[in-house]
Amino acid sequence: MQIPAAYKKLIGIFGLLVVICMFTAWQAPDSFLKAANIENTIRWTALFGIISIGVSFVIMTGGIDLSIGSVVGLIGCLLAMSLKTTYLPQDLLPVEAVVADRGELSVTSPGQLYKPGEWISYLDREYQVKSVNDNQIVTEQAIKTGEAKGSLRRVYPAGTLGEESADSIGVGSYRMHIRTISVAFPVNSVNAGDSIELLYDVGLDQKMPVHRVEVKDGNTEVQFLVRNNQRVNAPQFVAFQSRSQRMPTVVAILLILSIATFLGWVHGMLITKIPLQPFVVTLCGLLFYRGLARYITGDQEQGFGSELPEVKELAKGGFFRILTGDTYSFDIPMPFIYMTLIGVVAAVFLNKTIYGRYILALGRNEQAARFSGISTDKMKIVAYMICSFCGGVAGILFSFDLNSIQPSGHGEFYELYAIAAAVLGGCSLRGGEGSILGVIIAAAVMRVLNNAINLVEGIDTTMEFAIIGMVILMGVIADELVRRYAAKRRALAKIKDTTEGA
Amino acid sequence: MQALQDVSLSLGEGEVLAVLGENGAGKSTLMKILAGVQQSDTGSIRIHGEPVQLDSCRTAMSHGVVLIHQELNLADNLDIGANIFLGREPRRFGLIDRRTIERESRRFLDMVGLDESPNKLVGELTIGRQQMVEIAKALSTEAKVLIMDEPTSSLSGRETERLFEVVKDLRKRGVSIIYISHRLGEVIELADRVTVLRDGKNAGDLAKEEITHDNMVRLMVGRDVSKIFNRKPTTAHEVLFKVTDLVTPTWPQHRVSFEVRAGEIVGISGLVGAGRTEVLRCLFGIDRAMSGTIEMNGVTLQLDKPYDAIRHGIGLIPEDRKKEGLVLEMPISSNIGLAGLRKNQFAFGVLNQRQESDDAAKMIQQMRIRTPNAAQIVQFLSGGNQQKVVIGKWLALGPRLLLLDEPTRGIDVGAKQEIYRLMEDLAAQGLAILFVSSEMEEILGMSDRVLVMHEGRISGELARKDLSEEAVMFLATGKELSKSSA
Repeated sequence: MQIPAAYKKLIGIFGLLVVICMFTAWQAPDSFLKAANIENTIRWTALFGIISIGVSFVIMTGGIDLSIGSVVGLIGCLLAMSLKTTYLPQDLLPVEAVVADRGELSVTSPGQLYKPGEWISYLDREYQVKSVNDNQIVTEQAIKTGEAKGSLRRVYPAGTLGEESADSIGVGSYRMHIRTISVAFPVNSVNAGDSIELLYDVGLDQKMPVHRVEVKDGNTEVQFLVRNNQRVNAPQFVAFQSRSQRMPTVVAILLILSIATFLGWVHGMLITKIPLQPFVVTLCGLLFYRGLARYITGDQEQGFGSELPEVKELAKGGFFRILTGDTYSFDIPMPFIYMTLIGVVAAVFLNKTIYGRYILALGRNEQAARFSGISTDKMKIVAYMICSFCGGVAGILFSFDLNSIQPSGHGEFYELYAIAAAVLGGCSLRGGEGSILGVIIAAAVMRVLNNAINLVEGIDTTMEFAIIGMVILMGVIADELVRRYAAKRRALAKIKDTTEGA
Repeated sequence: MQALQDVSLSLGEGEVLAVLGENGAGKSTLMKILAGVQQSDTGSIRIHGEPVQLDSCRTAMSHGVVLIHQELNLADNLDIGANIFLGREPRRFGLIDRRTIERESRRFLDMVGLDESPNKLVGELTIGRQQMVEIAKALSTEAKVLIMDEPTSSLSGRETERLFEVVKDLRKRGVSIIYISHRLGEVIELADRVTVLRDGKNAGDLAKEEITHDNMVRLMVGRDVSKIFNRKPTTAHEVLFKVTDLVTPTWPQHRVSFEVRAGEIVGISGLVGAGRTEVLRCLFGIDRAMSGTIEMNGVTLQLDKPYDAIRHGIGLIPEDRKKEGLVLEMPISSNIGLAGLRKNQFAFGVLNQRQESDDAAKMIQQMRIRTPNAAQIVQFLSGGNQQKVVIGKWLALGPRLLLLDEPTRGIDVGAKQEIYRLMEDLAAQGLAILFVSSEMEEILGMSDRVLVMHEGRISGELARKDLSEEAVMFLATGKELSKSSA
């Protein structure tokens, strides 16, 4: 009896999705059905789907989590901060005074870093070192300008430039080929990931990631990475910049997911042990995390620039492109893969494990669950941890997707989209009811609706919130009416049964 | 579901009519209809021969009909005077006239013999005194018909006596009273006439001279009591469960000690609020005992949470099965499986659904739960079948001690009988059974031994041969047994 009822709800919400898709495809066929638009819609559906799955667990316990949007914002800021990357040129020495015709450069610290015969670059010109005395470096050539400004750094005269390798490494659109350049000096303290600069007389210097460095008999072979068919000319000189990232990427991601999960644990503890109302606790979270994000970043925009292209590809690239390296006209965005994984695990957890049963039972009737020996507090805490964990995962994906994070606005109102999707997807705010698939479809409804408002001419984009609000309202009204109708029919059937039986 | 079918009842001026019936017989529904809280589908109400339409509490009140609820409907945070005139405050220049309230309140408090200042907060009064305030409130509306729904269920002995005096006094003033009670002794003392309901129908009336214990029980139950209860004396087994100096958080000044033998059915009797449920809650780890030891087979148990009790083979059938026993929106199988989920799991907590449905099927058969299938949602079952699901939840775990709190509350006679049979069968299989009941018949009929509680302590213990309604009531109202036998 109850399984078809759950399916009916799914069919209802799926029907709504189909109707909105068909309407948009009819009104704006060109823009809506474009592969890029569909990919974008799927990608954002997945991102919102992940936070909606998270919050649906909390809603199933009869609680609420208003802090997700701020968690997404805080996580984005923390991620960008812990992956902050800086580049430093090699053997940098600030220049204090210059005697141009004698080729004398006075530097602020002892010049012993350099030896006669080696090469330096000063104000985009290369000079060979003739001699070094304490704070003075004398070059073979006269210095082009007499001004003392900036620093000198180490460069190497470039040798032969090899051809592009046939094999490629990396993922998806970030597949790179290896080229090699030789240097007649030993190049020390350069590691994979640092960057090599190819210096030309005419300017237009190029910067590429170093793949590998090998020193043999005073000569060095430097392997660096180029994109497919990237044009590279043989340079006169090469220089290196050592790259430093505040934290290894994997460590940062694990740390940040633990922080997110910890926040959920704190919410759960406050709600069950003190106990406080979920609304109040997570409302305070909403305010606190937003303020914290703005404070730790100094309210400055955070981002990844052009760093970590492979990680970004994994976070938001196309699934088949990553698998095969080829580009397709339509590809499944990676966030959809992550959402599917999380969704499957969540659905199994909810429907096939005893813990899912605990959550559903305590959401319906916490007392009865407790009287049946279930640790209701523990399970509630777990639900809040799941919610914040999903907020963390989505926070990471959102920030790689957008590549720039505004501490004051990143993730704002996301909690409301997530709660709306959970409710539209069949979670009752009374608790004890919910379907993961329904929530995902509802998240898609919200995104397609948003898409439709932007694409369909004649719908003013300022109506976005109004339209989304109306659709959700109509959805829950329809659900309630259907529920009442079913209850009435069941009551009638029962009366009929008893009168026939009697 | 129809709660009432073609019920008739009449009431004379200055008459005390007792309405009797088991739980679920339809008394409360009938009273709600009379007081205008609920409307009847058919039928009529006449006052002095005039048909009246009682479609709200207010119209009922204007006709002089007032219901005093079983759960008192007073605002704790307001004083006595404010409660008496709630919603009908006398006004002066648009403001509440406190002076009139105080004067009038005193008059009505005098009528019920309650010596309290009208300015005292209702929350500071004992339950018995709050009841008097309710009656004073009813009198202030010039009530002609007073409906009292189990007024003594939470009163002490002295408070009960005081209430009786007030009722007799009101009768002299010409107020008619419909008196609902389970306590047959009270009915014999107070009632001028008795109307009995059974399964939503009139089961019969008794005139003053016919009001006897046996007549009333026969009408209520519809058959001889001796046929319902036939607990035979059992041979004593070894002590299975032993409680020593247990102190509950609600009654920290008293220590409770008792033991239950394997195969024994022990009843706990006492007035509502005597601390019976509190003891069961501690034994099941819902509330933590403040001190004392609980032993099972000589092993001391540490009961911090219900699972600790479950692990040691204790099951609790709680007082309020809808709130505490069942997840009403879930199917029978999930409810039966709820306490045993830890047992029915594979690796990573994956639920063994087959085991769960096997357990459910077994329990449905063993308990004779009447249902089309195990997927039936529990809220659509009758009260008796719901209760069987709660019991099945524990039996599926193979318990050694069952704690039952009001096991037959709100279920029909047939289902009651089945539950009694079941308790006997389980005891015969060696289970220890400890049950709390407010129904005297049940206590007298089922128990091998009875513990009577009064205000948080065990006021006495009665072996089967010493059992009588008088002895139990004596202890329940806090009197010493030795005095009664003297």
